[in-house]
Amino acid sequence: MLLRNLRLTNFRQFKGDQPISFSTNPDRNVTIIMGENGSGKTTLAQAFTWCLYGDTDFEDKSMLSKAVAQNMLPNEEANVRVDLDLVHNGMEYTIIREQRYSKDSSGSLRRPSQTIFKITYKGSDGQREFVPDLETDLRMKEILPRELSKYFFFNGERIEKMSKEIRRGKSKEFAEAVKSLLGLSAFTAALDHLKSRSSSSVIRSYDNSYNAGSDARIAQYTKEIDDFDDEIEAITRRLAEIENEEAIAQDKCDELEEKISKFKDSEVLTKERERLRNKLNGLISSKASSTTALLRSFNKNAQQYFAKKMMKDALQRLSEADKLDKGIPDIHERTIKFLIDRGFCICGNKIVFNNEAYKELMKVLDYIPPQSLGSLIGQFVRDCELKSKGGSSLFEEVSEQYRVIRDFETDYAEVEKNIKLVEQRLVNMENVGELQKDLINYESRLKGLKTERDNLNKEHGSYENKKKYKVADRKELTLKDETNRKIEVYKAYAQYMYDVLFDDYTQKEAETRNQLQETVNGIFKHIYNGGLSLSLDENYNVNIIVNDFEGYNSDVETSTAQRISVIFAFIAGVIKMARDSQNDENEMLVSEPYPLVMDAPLSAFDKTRIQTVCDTLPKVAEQVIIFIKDTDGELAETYMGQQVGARYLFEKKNEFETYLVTR
Amino acid sequence: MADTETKTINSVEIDVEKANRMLKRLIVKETANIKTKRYNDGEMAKQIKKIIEEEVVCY
Repeated sequence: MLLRNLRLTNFRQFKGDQPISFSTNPDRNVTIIMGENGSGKTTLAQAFTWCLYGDTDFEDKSMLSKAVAQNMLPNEEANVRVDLDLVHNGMEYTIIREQRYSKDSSGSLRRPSQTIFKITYKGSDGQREFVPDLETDLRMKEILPRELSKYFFFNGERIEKMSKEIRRGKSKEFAEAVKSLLGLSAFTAALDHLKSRSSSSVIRSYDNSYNAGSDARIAQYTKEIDDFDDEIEAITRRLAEIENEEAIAQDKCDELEEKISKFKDSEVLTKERERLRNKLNGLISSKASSTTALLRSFNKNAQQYFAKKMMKDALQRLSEADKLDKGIPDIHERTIKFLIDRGFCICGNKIVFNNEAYKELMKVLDYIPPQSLGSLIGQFVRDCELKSKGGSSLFEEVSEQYRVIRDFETDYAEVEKNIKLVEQRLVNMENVGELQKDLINYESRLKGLKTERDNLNKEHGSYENKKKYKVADRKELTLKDETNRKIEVYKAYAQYMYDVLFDDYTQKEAETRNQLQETVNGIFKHIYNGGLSLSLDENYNVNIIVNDFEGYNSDVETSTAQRISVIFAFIAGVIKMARDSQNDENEMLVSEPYPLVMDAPLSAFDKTRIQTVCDTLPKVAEQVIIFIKDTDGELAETYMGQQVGARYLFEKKNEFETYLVTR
Repeated sequence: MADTETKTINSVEIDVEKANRMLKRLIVKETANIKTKRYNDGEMAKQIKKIIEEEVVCY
């Protein structure tokens, strides 16, 4: 298949009719279309898949140019159309996909019509003819099966997904499509024509053409054999589905196990978050209790504490209190009153109310207990001693509680920061418990599928046996009739051809697969210089093998550069084989060269690999079409300059309009 | 009649040389049809039947 021209009409930002011609010159087989980010590279790449298969990766499924839509009047219509001219198996095809958009009377866009898909080809008389509508999908599958298209229409931003697809879990259709590309389709077609479930296949049609007139049981046995075939086919179909379901469930199990192992930290982190939250709560209550204690201490002892200095000064002053004390030691008020009541003093003088002695004694009353100044001072001193004791621990108590409160601010911020860090790590983690539940479900699904498969295999064997006996019974009857005997002979020849072809096909398929493995490895080693090699299993899944470790032949995890090298090597290998098998002398290997259409293919490579890839691709592929951003594009042009046959530029006028111009 | 290599398929004896001749004709037809798409599956089966019946008759 060689791509010649692409014409876009109102497709996304490509307003109006915009044609582009790709280089088909074998010596200059590269077309480079360069543009800045957002100019329409991916859109142009998607135009191919929309045209061929009616689908794109865009979230916005409206293909109509926004600039056109804006200018449409109410009730007006506009078409989106992509035409792709290509040559396949020497035949010139035009693949056309078209979709009609219209506005309602209020000026809103209606839901677009279904896309119209047409394939035209140039007949032997040079006239354009249409492939009948019912056959367009089948013809498209023959030109380029969808399963394989993503490898020929390569999107550099899908590397991760492609890498996974290329290494495991590919469908049976994928293997069939690769086989077809490798030129084995003539074999499969011949095998199908000779013997398949289709009633038109040679053996089935002979089965249905027995002369039942010779013995009514022939028709009955044929009917029973048909029924057995139906059962066997249903079982075979279900077994294929089971294989796919098992692959999906196994993939899920692997994915979940990987996640569980990756997220097992989430359990530890969740516990750590809980511990930190408890610590935070502890800090909050500790702050509250420290504040209360501080206030309590302050209220209780602040007075004494702050009076300490005054008390100290006062006590200092009072240390001389004996000078102020005019009292008589050990004389009490009661003593004076006794003397007054007795009427004479100790010295013998008479004491009469208001005489001199009386007045002197009354003065003494002011200095002796209970009103003695000395006593009051004594009392004050004792009070001071007591109070200063109470206030002495205030500073330490308040300091300690204040330290707790002050530390709280720091500790709180620290714990809060740690909680945030833990939560950030937990953000992208999934709940391991839920994952475990899912894993158990998928594992039990796998078990169920295995049981179902075992049972179906038993049933399959049983139907095969029954069919075998019935065929023998029918043969016994058919050989009695001349016409039916002839049919048995024809069938025997058909069966012989089927068996020979099947053996030949099995051998060729294995040889082709080995050859593909060698080709892919040769390219891989050229692109990626490392101790790795690739192996292909019977489903064409690629396994990466470490060469340096003898005996270690399990698949290994790889870096991005390795992954993209694997993808390139696989695609380039298939393309090279398809191209080479054209020249194969074996008549049954019929193949076709294929182009490589690549969107941002070099973005994941370093300079050295860009050079290697640029060197390899034009050699292995019949045609290379690259959509590339300016910086990578300059490198690509440097390395592929000699092979570039056409150059285009995405000229972005505004967000809604880009024009393709030649450079 | 010259000695011919035979083989028994489903209790029917077939002439291997004749069978291989049919096979060659079938291969040519299939490879051509892959390129030209001239015949659909049903038509191809009819073509193969025609080859078989012609060769079997041609004894």
